[in-house]
Amino acid sequence: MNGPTPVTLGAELPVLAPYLVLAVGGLAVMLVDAFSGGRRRDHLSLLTLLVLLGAAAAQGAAPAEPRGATLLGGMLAADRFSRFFNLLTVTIAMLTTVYATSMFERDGRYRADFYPLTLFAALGMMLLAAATDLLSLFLAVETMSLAVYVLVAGERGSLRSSEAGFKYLILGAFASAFLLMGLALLYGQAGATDYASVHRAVQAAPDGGILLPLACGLVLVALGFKVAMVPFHMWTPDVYDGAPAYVTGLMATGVKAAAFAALLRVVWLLPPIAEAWFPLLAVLTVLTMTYGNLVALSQNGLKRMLAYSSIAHAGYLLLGVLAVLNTGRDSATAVQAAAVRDAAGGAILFYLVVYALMNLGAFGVVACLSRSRREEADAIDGYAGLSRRRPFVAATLAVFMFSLAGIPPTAGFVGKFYIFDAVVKAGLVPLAVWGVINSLLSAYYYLRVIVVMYMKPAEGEVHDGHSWEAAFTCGVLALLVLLLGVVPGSFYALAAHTYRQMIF
Amino acid sequence: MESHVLDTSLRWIVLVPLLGAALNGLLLRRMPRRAAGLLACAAVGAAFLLSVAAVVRLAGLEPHHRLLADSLGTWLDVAGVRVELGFAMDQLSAVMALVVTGVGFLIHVYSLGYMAHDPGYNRFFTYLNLFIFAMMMLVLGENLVMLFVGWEGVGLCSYLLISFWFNEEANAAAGKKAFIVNRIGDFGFLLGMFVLGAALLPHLGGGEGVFSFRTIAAHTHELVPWATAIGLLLFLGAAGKSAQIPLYVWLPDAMAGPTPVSALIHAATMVTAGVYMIARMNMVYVLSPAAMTVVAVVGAVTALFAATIALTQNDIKKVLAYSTVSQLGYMMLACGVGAFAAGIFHVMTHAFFKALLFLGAGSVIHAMGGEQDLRLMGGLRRKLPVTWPTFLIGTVALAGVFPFAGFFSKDEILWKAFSEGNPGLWLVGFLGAGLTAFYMMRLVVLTFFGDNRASEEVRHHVHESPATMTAPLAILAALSVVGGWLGWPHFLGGANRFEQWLAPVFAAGAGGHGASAHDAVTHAAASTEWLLAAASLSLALLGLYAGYRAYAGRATLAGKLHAFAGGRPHRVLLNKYYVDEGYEASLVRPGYALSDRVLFRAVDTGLIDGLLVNGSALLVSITSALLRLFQNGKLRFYAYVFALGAAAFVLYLALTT
Repeated sequence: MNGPTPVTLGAELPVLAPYLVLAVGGLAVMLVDAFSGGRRRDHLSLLTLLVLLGAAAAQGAAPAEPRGATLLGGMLAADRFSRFFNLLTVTIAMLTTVYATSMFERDGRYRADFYPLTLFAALGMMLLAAATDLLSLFLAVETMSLAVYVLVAGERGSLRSSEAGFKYLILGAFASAFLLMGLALLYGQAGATDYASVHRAVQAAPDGGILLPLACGLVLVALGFKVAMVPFHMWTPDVYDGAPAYVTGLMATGVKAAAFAALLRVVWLLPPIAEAWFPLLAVLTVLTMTYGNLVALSQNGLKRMLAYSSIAHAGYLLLGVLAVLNTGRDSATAVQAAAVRDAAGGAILFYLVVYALMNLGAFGVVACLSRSRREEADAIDGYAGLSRRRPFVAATLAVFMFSLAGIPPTAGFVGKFYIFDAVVKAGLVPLAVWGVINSLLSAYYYLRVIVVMYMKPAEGEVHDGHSWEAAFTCGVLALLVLLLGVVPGSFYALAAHTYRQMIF
Repeated sequence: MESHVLDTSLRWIVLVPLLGAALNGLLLRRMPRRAAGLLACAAVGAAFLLSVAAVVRLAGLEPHHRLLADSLGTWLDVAGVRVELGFAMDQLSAVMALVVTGVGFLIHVYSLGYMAHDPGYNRFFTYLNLFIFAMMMLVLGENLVMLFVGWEGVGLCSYLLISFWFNEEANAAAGKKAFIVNRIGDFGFLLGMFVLGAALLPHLGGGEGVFSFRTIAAHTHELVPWATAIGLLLFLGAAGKSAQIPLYVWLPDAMAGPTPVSALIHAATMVTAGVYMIARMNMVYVLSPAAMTVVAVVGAVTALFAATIALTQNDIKKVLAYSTVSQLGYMMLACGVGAFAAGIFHVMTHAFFKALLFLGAGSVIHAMGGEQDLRLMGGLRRKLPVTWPTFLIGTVALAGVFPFAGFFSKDEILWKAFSEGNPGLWLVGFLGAGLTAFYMMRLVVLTFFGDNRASEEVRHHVHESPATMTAPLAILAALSVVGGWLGWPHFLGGANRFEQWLAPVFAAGAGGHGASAHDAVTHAAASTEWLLAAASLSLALLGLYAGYRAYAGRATLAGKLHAFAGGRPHRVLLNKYYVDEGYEASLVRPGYALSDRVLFRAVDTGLIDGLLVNGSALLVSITSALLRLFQNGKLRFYAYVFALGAAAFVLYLALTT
């Protein structure tokens, strides 16, 4: 986390390539759509997948900077951390595209705006995870958010979709205002916008009055809104529920991962003022976990249940952030503190990946079983007897539910274990205990889905939708969830290593 | 015992029967019946031949370095507790291995005929092979943990085979009873192991398996303060497996299984596992006179107690079952007075003649079309030309008539009880021996003498069994004659080679109890030994004669015996001292009531399910329903909460900095 080494624009191009591919690709998809007649749009999905693959390939081909470097004069980081999130984002976007296309095909009615918007949203997420400047942070948030607003609202003819989009837009704008205010205050204190300068300013004037903590607080409120932290979570159930299932999957995984990535970088600015922050964040974390789990208990719709569950999971991830923060305070030596911080950071990255896998899996099952976009497979009671009708799909959903509940041998268990372990190592035992209790609470509503699928007979004739691609994807995801649950070691090591090399 | 010779054939002695069981078990339905039976016999036969070869190699070694060892690697290595997946054969294991595979092979062959018409034929042989596997693991295990795995394995096979005909409720109940009663013993065994481990672990260096018999033998001085506890706890296990008071109750009921099972498992081999285990742990037992005394007294009392019950039973297999309990008592008595070699000697001879008697009884039952009631038999002498003489040989061998096998081993035990223990123990054993002769003669007379009391139809069908059944009878009969000669005692001019063979195993801790003590026997002691032997032989002959007189010909004498003192003693014996009823009333029913009314209804249903589970669930759902109200879908409200939160946030920061 030393001072970044600037590189020249020519040398930067290969590193910038993944972002450029997405940006140009998004525009290209828009153009192709505009010039293609007829109703069929399946070439758009192919093109989108190609663009995403190209971005991944560009990321793979980008020269690896072992200690990382900043791009565009300190705007973006080109470190392992951003590479990690770029690949994760591309994967999420690809899965979303597959689900969405399978839904469109079932309806025979394509939604052409979906493809470029998804690409732009992915671009925003990648930028957000890489942002190392107050300005690029804000631009990334807006790039991502604007695309997602439209994705949520864009299900034409669906009142609920429009309502969700509208709510998200208004409250998102609200949050953006807080973010902008916070950023402005930070700039006012530091006199510069890049994180390095801000960090220096914060270090130099730890007792700079109320403005610095306030600025950081405002930024936290905005990022808290994106990750659905209580009390800035109110939009989550309505939006997740109202948005089409394929968009909800993208939001729950991609947006959340990108926001946490940004949070992890911003948190690095804080240590001098963490004293003031810490108790507040701890209380909010506890509230977030508890609220999410408690309300999820009484949901009857799968999407809404998963919305509350995503609030609860944001809570677990915030626990990890607390461990990262706290290590500067209680640990005996700096070496120990760094070790615990790396462990906690690695645990967060690991968990974000696991969470993306299992959540996309669950939304994939919803996409697979929905008969049309109007009739999404949402009601949990509708899953009765699924194990008889569609044993394979039911089995994959069972794997995802077990994993979300944190039951071995799934990745969800290992991920929670790493987080709680880091929290305990940071000396926050009561918080870890509370996390475990919450995890226990959550088992009820996840297992309920399994009970309904396996132990309740279906009432009357049920016609599920079917999508070969979605079912196959779910199978692969379930395998990955089990694989990471059985042999998590090397991947966790990679995550911890990635976090250790993060710039800021 | 420091040096040992690696011998990888040991693992195959154990694994070949497992292979047989696996093949038969996995191909259960596809396997033709003939092939299944032959495969099972071949597996045990191979194990027997491998054992013979191993014993020959063992015998070729120096007497004090006779130890073959084999290991499949380390099984556990956790927190200093290291357990090898290892096998070892010393003189003691050699005897057991030969007896188990040898008698086991004969009984497998016998079963080919006995089970020929049973629908569960393949399943039967699967279990039987599985049993041999577990039993070999038990006797060849290099450490207490391996022994315990075998111990549990034979327990499982015993359960499976007792309730082999599970269609009948009574058989299933008998299997359960055996299993549960044995669990009580196993509990003691486990605790004994824990105490042993806890006592030894602090004294061990790296690389020593804490439960290895060699480790235990090398660290006996550290075990002195714990020996009594370990000995008594392990004896609880032995009392379960070897059917001693108070855990003997399962063995008579175990006769519900097919007769070859009764012969193999519940007479010849498995039930002697307790004796084997105590002999194996002799280095611990000799440290504790108290534990030894308990073993000896329980053994002697069991020997007499079970013999009295055997006097009155009417089921041919029940008589033999109580006889087995009684004989196991003698073996325990031997161990308890430190004569481990004599105990193992009796294990061997008893395996021969009791297997013979059970198989003979099986042949009788087979001939009588499944009838087991002695009152409906009689006059089978001429109808069963092979079964009759072999059964008679088994009877006199069990009664202890010179020069049959039982004489040598039982006399050895009684002599050791007298010389190493005390006259009281001897007297109890002596009386038991007299009763043994009496009840066995009663059994013979009721079965083979007089007129046949069965129905006309049954009488018509009586026939001798096929060669697969009679051949094992003949071989076992021969062994019941000559098997005892291995231990021809000194006072009769022999060398007691059996005791010499085992001496190195028991010399380690036995001090004065080994064969060396025998060389120092004085002339006076020898004359006492003569006297006692003559007395017990006379008593055996007297018992046989009395049994014959009481039940042959006119039944008036027997009638008088039954009517003695108003028939009350007879009734008590017939009902087995009401021990089962006592256990039912004092343990089973209160235990059931406790678990049903208190643990299940009050604690589980009421407290745990009602208050803790449902109560907390109710609390959570109420909270959940209340919180849900916040989510009213109104955008203005959401923004309001957002703003409120942010305001609180800022306010908090302002106040704290």
